Amino acid sequence: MSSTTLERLDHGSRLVLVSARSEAARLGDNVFATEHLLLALVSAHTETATLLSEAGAGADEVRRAVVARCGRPRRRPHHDALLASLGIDLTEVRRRADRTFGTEAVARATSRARPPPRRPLRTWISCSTPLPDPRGDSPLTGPWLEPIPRVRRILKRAIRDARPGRASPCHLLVALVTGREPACEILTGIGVDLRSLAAAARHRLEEGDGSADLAG
Amino acid sequence: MTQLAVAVDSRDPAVGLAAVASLRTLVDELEALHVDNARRCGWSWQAIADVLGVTRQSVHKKHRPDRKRRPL
Repeated sequence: MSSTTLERLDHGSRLVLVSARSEAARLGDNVFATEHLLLALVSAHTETATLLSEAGAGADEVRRAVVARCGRPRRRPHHDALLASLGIDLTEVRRRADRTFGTEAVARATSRARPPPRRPLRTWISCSTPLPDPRGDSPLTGPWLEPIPRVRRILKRAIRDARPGRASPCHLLVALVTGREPACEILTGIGVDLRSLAAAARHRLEEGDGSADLAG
Repeated sequence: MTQLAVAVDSRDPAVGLAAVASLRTLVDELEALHVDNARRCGWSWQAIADVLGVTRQSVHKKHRPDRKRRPL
């Protein structure tokens, strides 16, 4: 994700992205897709959770629908199994770290603990084995997942709508439900009227000055 | 996950070494997390180093904030 995209998002939206990425890792998915964005929007402590639950989509229902749609976890981070062989319950470690310090602090610390990118060797030594990815697999936050193009398009649309301000989680919600995304099918499957939800979110954006979401 | 851990022969060096490498990464991440927390609580580098049992210089070299790296 480019840094200019991140600069156009407010604090709440960045938190939503961090939590969407960890949702994807927790579900064992290989990609960061629109369903994970929806999960993050419905479970974040912002007004998007209120809007969605008023429209009939509670956090538990959405989670159940997403898990049913994505099926069983396709891939397990290998750290879980390796550390279990030493007698360490990584899930519990993750849960405690999240509970004590918050998801954002964990993500920041993890990104700092990664080794810095190495300079390519300029010697006669053969470099046929690729250097390890500096953003590789992290035990605490799971593998680094890039958002799929659909998610990037949603971000771009939200940013365009929010101009000249920064995109709040509410802008992300509007961009998500007005597009024809897979996550929209999940919402309609639960029985959410997308049009009224979008209208309610727009109304919320117009009456609030948008910066109220900064604290969330 | 648990089945894998049980099924795996613990005398297999490949598994043991990979597990240790994984544990080391986890320890580094937890250390970064707790050093961040201590700095936010206003601890000095010296105090952090004393508790970790290393020198002040080494803990600062490892954990000083890096402006060049992006947060996300």
